[in-house]
Amino acid sequence: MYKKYNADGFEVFSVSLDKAGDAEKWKAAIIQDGLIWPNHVSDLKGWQCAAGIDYAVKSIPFTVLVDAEGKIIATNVRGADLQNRLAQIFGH
Amino acid sequence: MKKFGLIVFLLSAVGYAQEFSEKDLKNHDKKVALSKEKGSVELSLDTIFNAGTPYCLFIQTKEVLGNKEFSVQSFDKKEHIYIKTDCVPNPTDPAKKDCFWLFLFMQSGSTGEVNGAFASGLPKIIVENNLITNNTINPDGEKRFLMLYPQKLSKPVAPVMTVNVVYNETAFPMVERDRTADISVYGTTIKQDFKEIGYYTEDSEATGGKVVKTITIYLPGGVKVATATYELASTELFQVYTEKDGKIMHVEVNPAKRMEQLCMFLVQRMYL
Repeated sequence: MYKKYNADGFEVFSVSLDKAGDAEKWKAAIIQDGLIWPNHVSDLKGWQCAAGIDYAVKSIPFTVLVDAEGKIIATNVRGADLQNRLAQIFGH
Repeated sequence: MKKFGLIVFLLSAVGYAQEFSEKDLKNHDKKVALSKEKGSVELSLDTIFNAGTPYCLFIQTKEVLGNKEFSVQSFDKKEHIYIKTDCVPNPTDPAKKDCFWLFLFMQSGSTGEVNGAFASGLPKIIVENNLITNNTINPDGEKRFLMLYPQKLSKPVAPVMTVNVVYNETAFPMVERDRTADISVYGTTIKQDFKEIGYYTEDSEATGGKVVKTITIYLPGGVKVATATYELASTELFQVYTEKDGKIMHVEVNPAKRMEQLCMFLVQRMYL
């Protein structure tokens, strides 16, 4: 989906809930899982991750879809559901 | 250009397709350590561990009123075995029910039954019979399992039948794409890896008091690939006829995802 819609202005930001000491595992997983987008961040605080607390993340993976104005338009959309949302937004 | 963004919260130990609570994740290390220390079979984060080593994926796909269904997959997310619980009336006392776990081996279409086990005992049976090796189904393990756990109670499924049909591969031009990606069905269009790989039509016919549905699957160019028929009263068991080689197979599917699972069955066998 990233490949399909990136040229239309769709970006993905990964926030890892890994802990201190797991930085190398996190970096390896980015490659192994094929997370090809460039934006990956983590404060390596595990479940105490500031962004995780701000977005009330209780389970993972957890997703937040944000529109062009920065407003949250959906949470925890994945797979076919996300595909359908993006198809509606970008028209293809 | 206006930008839309998706913020994804992840953890390196967990794949994107799975979902787990903080409690599951906290218990994970303990379970893996226990498996390693005792050489035991443990299930954690949808993964079966044998003596501390990941063995295969064991994913619950459905639970309705306590009836659970599981998908046994290799780590490349290919489904090799589908397991569901089923019950039939006891032959001597119809008021009672005999319940069992029905194992469907996706590649061969073979089925076996495990009686009297809780769901928690299934991972051990999978490992003990060595059903998965080298990240795929182990045919020898499958044979051993079918000998130990033959189908007795549920409706016997006819073996795969083949009629002698000579075919030409080029007559069935399939779309190149990532064949491990999820299947999506939009209307009558079948997609994989964002590419249209085929389409289907659906018909129904009433005969002998039964309604029989027929799904016909085509490649994008209109070449017929397979015909699947099922009784409306039993939407879980398809009889599939494949045009390329004239095989007749029986496929058990989850009714909620019948088209996706039927298509994946054909994709995995290079029909679609």
